[in-house]
Amino acid sequence: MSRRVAFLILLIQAVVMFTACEPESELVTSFVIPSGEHYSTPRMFESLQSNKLHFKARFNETAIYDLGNIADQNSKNKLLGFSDCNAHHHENSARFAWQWFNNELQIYAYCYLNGIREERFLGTVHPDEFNDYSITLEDDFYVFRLNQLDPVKIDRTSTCDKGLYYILWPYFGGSMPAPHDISVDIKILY
Amino acid sequence: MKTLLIVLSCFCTLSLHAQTVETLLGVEKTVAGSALSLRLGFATKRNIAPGVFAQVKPRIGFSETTSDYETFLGSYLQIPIASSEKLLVTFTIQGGFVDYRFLVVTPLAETRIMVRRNLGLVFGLGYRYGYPSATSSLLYRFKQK
Repeated sequence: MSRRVAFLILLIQAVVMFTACEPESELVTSFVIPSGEHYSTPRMFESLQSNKLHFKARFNETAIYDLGNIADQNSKNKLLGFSDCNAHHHENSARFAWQWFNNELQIYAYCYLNGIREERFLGTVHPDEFNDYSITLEDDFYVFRLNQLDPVKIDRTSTCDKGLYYILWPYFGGSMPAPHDISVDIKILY
Repeated sequence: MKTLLIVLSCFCTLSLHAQTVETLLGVEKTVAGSALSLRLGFATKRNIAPGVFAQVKPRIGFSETTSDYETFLGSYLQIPIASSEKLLVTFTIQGGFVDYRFLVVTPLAETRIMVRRNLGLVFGLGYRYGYPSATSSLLYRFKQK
């Protein structure tokens, strides 16, 4: 192969690398939880690669639902988060959760701490607008931030430090599956 | 320390059997920005090459508790898929820790073009942060006699 061809390939690669990439701001993934299901599509596997999970999420009118009784309606659906170091997410994890309750879209911090669940109300959001979410992983606690509201700290019980922190994607429930197709747009910020 | 000794002893053993020592200096473009990477590996006669790598990427817009740079250190295994005299297509699996903490495993498909006997260009497509990434590297091979 001649040097000219190699140079041409290098040139094409350089053009692709530095000009043709999709703008970061456009990297929105639309997750759909089909009616009767818990898990969202697309199914993805990804691990946390920094001590902060920062993203924007936008619900729409599909986030409005009626499960027919208060107990199920007051059950948290999961938005996004991560399992803690090498732990199953029902052992140690930190996630944002949401529910349609009292005619509002409520957002919660939702953690498992050594197998014990802890939930804290963070605030409400409106459908059809992007809101800013972040979870910062500190040595002894998680910090949940929703928009400009006061951050909420939850003690971290995992003593593990180095290992796999897998991302937890949108999930409906609770025990009840999605009553209709529910979609949410998520844009992870790096 | 024990792990480090085991890894080093493995590489010492491999280097004795290796036909070529390879170094790659390059850039990986990801959705989270561009990272500078350095790789050192030992290629066998069949172009199977285990090695170690280091990647550094400036961090943008992070809290005061994190450093300005993200480091990704680990080891890799390169497996040849197809080869000709001056071209080599490989599959590479990289695994290591980001910021000495977060375990990350990434696949990479690469094409090598040898421009000179010891000098080559390497282009690849990988998968980082849930999205495709592109790599471009300069390869230098130290051949054993």
